[in-house]
Amino acid sequence: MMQLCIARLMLWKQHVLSYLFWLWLPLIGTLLFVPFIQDVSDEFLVPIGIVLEEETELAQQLYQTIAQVDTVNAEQFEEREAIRRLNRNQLDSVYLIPEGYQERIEHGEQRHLVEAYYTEHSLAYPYVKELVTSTILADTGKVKAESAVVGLAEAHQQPDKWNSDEILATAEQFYQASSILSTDLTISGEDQSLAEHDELKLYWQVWVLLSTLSTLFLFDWIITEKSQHVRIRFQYMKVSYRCFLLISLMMLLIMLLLVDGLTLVVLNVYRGEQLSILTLFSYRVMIAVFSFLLAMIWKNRYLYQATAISFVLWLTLINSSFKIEGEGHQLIQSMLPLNPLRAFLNDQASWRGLMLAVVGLVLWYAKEGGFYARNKRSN
Amino acid sequence: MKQMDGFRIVSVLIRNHFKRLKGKWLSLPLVLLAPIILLSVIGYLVIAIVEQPTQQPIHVGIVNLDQTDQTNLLVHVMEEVSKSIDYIDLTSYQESDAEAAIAAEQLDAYLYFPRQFFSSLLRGESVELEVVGHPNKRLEGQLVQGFVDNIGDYIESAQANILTVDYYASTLLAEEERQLLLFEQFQSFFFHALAKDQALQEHEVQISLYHSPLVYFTIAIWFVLITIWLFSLYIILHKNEDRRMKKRMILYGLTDLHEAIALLITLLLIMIVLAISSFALIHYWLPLSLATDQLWFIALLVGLYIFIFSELFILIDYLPLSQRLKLIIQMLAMVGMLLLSGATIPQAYFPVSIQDEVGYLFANHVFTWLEQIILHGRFHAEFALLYGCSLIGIFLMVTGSVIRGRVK
Amino acid sequence: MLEIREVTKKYGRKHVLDRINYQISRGEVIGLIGENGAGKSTLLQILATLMSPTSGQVLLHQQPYRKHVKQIRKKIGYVPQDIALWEDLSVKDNMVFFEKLSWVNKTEQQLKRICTDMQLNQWEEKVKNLSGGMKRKLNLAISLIHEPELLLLDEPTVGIDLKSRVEINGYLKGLAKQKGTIIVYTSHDMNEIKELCDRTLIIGDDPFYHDILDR
Ligand SMILES: Nc1ncnc2c1ncn2[C@@H]1O[C@H](COP(=O)(O)OP(=O)(O)O)[C@@H](O)[C@H]1O
Ligand SMILES: [Mg+2]
Repeated sequence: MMQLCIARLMLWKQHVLSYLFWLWLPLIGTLLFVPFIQDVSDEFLVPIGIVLEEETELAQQLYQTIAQVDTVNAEQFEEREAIRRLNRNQLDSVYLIPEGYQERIEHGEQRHLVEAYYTEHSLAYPYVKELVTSTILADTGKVKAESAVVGLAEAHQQPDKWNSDEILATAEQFYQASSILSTDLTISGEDQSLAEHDELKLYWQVWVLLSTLSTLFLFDWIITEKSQHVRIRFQYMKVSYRCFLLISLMMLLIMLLLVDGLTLVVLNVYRGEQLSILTLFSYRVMIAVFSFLLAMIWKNRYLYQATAISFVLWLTLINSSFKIEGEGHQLIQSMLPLNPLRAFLNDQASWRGLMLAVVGLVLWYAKEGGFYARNKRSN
Repeated sequence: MKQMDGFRIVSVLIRNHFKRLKGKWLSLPLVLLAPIILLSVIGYLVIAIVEQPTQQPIHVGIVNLDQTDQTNLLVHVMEEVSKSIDYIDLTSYQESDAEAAIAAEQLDAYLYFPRQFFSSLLRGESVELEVVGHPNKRLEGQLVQGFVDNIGDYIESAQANILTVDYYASTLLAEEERQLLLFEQFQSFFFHALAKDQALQEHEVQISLYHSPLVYFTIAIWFVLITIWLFSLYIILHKNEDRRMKKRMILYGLTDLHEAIALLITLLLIMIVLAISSFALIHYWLPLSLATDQLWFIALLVGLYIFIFSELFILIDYLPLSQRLKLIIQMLAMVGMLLLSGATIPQAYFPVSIQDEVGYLFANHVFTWLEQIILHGRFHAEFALLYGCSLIGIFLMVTGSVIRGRVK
Repeated sequence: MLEIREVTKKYGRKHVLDRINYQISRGEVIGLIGENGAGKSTLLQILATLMSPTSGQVLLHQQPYRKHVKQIRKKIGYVPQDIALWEDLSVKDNMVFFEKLSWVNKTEQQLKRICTDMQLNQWEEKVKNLSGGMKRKLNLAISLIHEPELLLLDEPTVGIDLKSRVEINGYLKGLAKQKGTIIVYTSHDMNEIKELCDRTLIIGDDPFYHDILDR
């Protein structure tokens, strides 16, 4: 056994740098790449224009609240400039806060407090509109609560019992303390709640994509090796070629698992992104066996590599949550139940995938053996 | 050995490329169809998100375990609200009935109001509304959750206001009177929240020739599709030459430059056919209204785009790196170009810091002018940048092949 | 002793070998000769257990192939017609690699000995930088690591220079005489066969070869 391992290492030694590179790429790439993605994706913002026709406190407050939302880049413009930019598709939408905004709110008015301009290309308009109306709603709500309390006091002949500012301040406190109503989606007959999976594990997401790519690449030597004449010599050796390949698979798997172990430690401890060992293990075995079998089937190394990259690109596409907010992302996720990485990203071990991999391996072993038996030994 | 002139060599190579492609009559359509299927699924999803769903309403049951006047009112209000929303239809149910109805596929999902729902709200404690979806209808379940999230927001905003009123009322009113007042106030605030959209006076400004974003999305998807096709074809054609044939050709004076030119011409020929036929389909399907001049501009833009992108791929293959790395670089180049072209993320949403620079990328340039012509009806496009890029590409290719020839 | 009894091989309907009977004893060098496509490689592959005959049987030291494939393979050294080496490894690494996988244990000195005995001295050189003749020698050397009792060579000297050919042939003669190895050798070069082999077996029924042999 030991001798077989040494023999395999002799073959790998030729390309040791490239193996080391692909072995460590996922971890190092992830550590370098994720901060970059985070920086970049934070800079993709929805540009909106705000036109302030009055400088009252509530108007300013509305502007400030919107400006503070970190997915929005709110800028203040003159009306003409704002509309011009909207027309040139440089702004997603424009919100004009007209003269008399604060006064009308204080009078309990609710309709048409702010004017909104959008175009047929305003993709984020529904999202920003929700943001703006909610902010206005909070303001009008507080005023409404205040007038209800004042009305109550007047009804009890104590009109001066509380002053308005004090009431508004109290209301503000309750606003800060609220936001405690949550919703949760489960599927009938399944225990797991879907919402729990939404928690984003960016490091593992990037890692799993890089790792899939590098694993596929780590197995591509099989394509060249299996078609070499030298294969015939294994007929007279201690082990058959398929057995030698199987041992090589195990060796590579062990190396990958060692690197994975370190990755787990680094990402769990250093980056605080938890993932269970079983999840990682089942993913690793699955992807390694899958790559192994794929390389056994493929004939052209270049096309295998191109396929590997396309496959990973496709995985990236269906797993990316770059800025695809809420519903849209979930929609894409739910349309693609065939996402092979779903179990991994939900931090579950994929027993079905593992079973499939093992069955595939057994079938390959049996078929390869059958091949020799049929063609080479006894008819 | 007699030297063949360059034209002969290139034409032999091109003929060889086409012969090879003919041999791939089965895999080639698959390679071309795969991105269409992929993109149309994604495009359909995006359009489905942007244009509100208009299909069959989703049937949702409400199971009210709280059974206080307030929650009964809330359920009633939600039923009323759902009547004005096309895509959701709410009915209240008993718990056991709801489960049976889900099993019988009469319901797509149901939602629970937990016990103590209202009193928890009044005490300012956190509560959870649970949506249970049908296993075969996850998508509907998620739409319901979105709807419930909205209702939740309304309840939440009403809650803070009621707590305020309650805070002051508790010093003035007796318990029973206070409950009555809170109930009234809850109603009032809930309806206030429901009407929040009225706070905006909305004006839609039409900035393109077409009323819906459908044209934009279709053009964007078409642009991405062409890019992916180009790359797939490049992969199929490149590296596919017969070794023995190549050796023989080298004797006739074959260089990297001949190969590159042959590959460029082949790609250009095939891609132009593909681009024109797919654009004709889109033109007919949408339909677009374009003048002949505009069609020529579009053809030239796309032709140059294909040309420059092919040059880029070939140049990357000149790098002295391993095949895998080159493939990755090519793939990253393609993805990067697509991301920054404005076809995947509209340019308005780009970081301010790169808004201006991005215009110098040829992919962005091409897509911007395509947009200008198709969406905004312009009769003009600028080509200086694209000609420049093509020439630089040719220069680098010549240099690269000379250097490679020397090194060999 | 190697016995070939009534060996027949058909590929589909095509008769390649027709009822061949032959006996070879220890230390003999036998040449298989015939035109291209006559079936030399086919017979050699049958002898090498890589293929089984359509009918008939082969026995090595009274052991029939069909029953004892495992043991018989340990005694066979097969030198394939195509060069079967790891191109990226050095001569040394190729030898060591196949020693690790073989049934015997040898020291590096012993392995190097095999190579130097047939004048293959570029021990550290990568295979892909070797000349055709050196590759052929290494191709043979690897098949000798486990000291086979039956050595089967499929056109081992095709396309190489005269010096290497003479060296290889000289080495093979010595092997048969000193260790009693049975050597079966295919070629379409009559002179080479006449010079090296004790007996000749003509495959196929082309009268041309029969005539030459009779002369
Ligand atoms: N696997 C095979 N299937 C069908 N025909 C074969 C196969 N291998 C060899 N042949 C045919 O059998 C004949 C003998 O081949 P071979 O033994 O290689 O000849 P030689 O080595 O004498 O040149 C040839 O005509 C060849 O075409
Ligand atoms: Mg032969």
